[in-house]
Amino acid sequence: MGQSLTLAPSPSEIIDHYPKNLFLAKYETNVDNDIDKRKVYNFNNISTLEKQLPDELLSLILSYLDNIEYTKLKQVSRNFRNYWIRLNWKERDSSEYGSFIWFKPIPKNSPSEYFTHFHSTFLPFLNRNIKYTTESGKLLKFLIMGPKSCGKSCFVDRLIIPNSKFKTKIEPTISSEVEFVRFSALNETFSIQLWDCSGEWIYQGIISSQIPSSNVIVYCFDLSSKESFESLRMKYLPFFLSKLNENSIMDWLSKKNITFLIIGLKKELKRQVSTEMIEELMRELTPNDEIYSKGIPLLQCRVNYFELGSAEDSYSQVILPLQYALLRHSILGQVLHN
Amino acid sequence: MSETKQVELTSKDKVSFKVDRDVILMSGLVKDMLEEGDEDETPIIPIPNVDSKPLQKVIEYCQYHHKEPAQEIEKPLKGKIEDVICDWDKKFLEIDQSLLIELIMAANYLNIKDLLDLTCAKVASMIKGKSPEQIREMFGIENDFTPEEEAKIREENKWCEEA
Repeated sequence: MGQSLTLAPSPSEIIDHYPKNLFLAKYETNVDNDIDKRKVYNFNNISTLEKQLPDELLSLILSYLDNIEYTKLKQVSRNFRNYWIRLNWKERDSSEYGSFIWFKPIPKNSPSEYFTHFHSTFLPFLNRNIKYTTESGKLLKFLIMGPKSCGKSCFVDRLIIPNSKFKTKIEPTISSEVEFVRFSALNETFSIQLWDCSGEWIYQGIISSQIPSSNVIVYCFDLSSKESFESLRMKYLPFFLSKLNENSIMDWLSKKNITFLIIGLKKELKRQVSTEMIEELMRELTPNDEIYSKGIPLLQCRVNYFELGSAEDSYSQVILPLQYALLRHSILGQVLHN
Repeated sequence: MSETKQVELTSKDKVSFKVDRDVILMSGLVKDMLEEGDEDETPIIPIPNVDSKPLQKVIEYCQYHHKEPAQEIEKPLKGKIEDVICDWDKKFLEIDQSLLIELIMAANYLNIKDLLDLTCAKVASMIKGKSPEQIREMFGIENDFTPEEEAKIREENKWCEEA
C-alpha cells in the first residue's frame, strides 16, 4: 500500500496534507476522486474559466482533451496540478491509455493505473538517464521482424534520426538492412544495431541465422490488419520453436536473456486488432498466472507490448520500446531487478 | 396569424426575442416550461440568467440545428475542433473568448446538450497544442509554482513533449 501512494499522480505535498491513515483509508475505498478542494486549491490564482464556470462544466471541457494534453496541464498552475487533473483522472477513458501502452506487470487492476504507474515511475527515469550519444559502447542487437508492409522500415527510420519526417512511400526491404544508433544509459554507452529484416517469408533464413546473436527481438505488426497480427502465432512462433528446438518461448527468452517486444504499428489507422486480442496473446506468451494475480517488477517483464503510430507520434513516443529494452539490458536494469 | 406557434424569450437585459416554438424546444429548460403552461397565445418566458448577446447566438444555433442535429463530437477530441464539425458550426464559433464562456453558461442553463458539447469542445481545442505559458495567458492566471516544483514537473512531463 505504501508503494501505491508514490504511484498516484499526485505531488507528495498533498499527501502530507492528509493525516496518513485518513489518506490510506480514502485510497483503499477508491474514493480518491473526492479531493477536498479547500485543502489543495489556491484561491488567489483562479482562471477566468474557473471564475465563471461551475466545476462540472470545466470537467466537461477537460474531458475533450486526450491524455497527453491533459497531463500537460499539470504544468499550468497549482490548481490544475493539485485539483483538476486529479479530480478527473479516474473517470477518464482507460481504453485510451491502452492505446498508448499496454503494461501488465504490476499488481493493479485498471489500465489507467498501469499507465499512471508507468509514467510516474518509469518514464522520468528513462528521460533522465538515457541519452543520445555519438560514442560507441556495448553492442546491443535488435532484430526487427514482422509481416511485409506492416511499417517496420518506417519505424526504424524514425528511430535512427530524432527529427526525421515520416516517409509515406517506401520500397520493400530486400533481405535485411542494418542501422546503427547510439544511446547512453547513465555511465554505460550502447551501440545499438537495428536489423530491419524483410517481411517477405523467403528471407526467413536471415532471421533464423541472426536470432542466436540477438539481444532484443522485436515483432512488428499492423494494427489495421488482423492477418498481420495473427502471423506471429501462426507463422513466426512455430518457426522459432522449430529452429531453436524449444518447447516454450519464455524458457528460451530467459535462458538467453532476450527481451521480446511486440509492437503494434499504424495506430492512427482504423484498428482491426482489439486490445483484448493483444491481451490474450500476452497471456499466452507469459502463461504464468502469478504475474497477473500478484504482479512482478516492471523490468522483469521479458515480453512487452507497445503501440505506436510512426506517422503521428513524437520522437519521445517512438523510442519508448527502444528505451525500455535498453534499460532492461543496462546495469541500471540489473540494479532495479534486485 | 402565422401558422407556426411562437414563444417570446426575455433576456437578462430585458430584450425580447420571438422564436418559433419548434426551434426553441431544443432547450430542455424551455421545453419543460412550455409543457406546464397552456398553449393558446404566445407565452413569454423570462431567461433571467442570460444576456441578449449570448441568447441571440443560442437562438441562431437552434434555428439552424433544430432540423438537423449536429453530429456528436468524439471524446477525446481528434485534432482541432474545426476538423470534426460542419462549416456552419465553424462560422458560428468565430467569437471571442468571453462570449464563448457566456455561451457555455447559457447552453448549460437552457439545457441544450449539443451546444454545450460544441462550446466546451471548442475551449478544449483552444487549450490543445498550447504551451503552459500560453494557457496561463489565455486564462489570466499566474505561474504559482516554485522554481523547484517547476523543475520537478518538467521532469515528470518530459515524456509527453516533442523531442
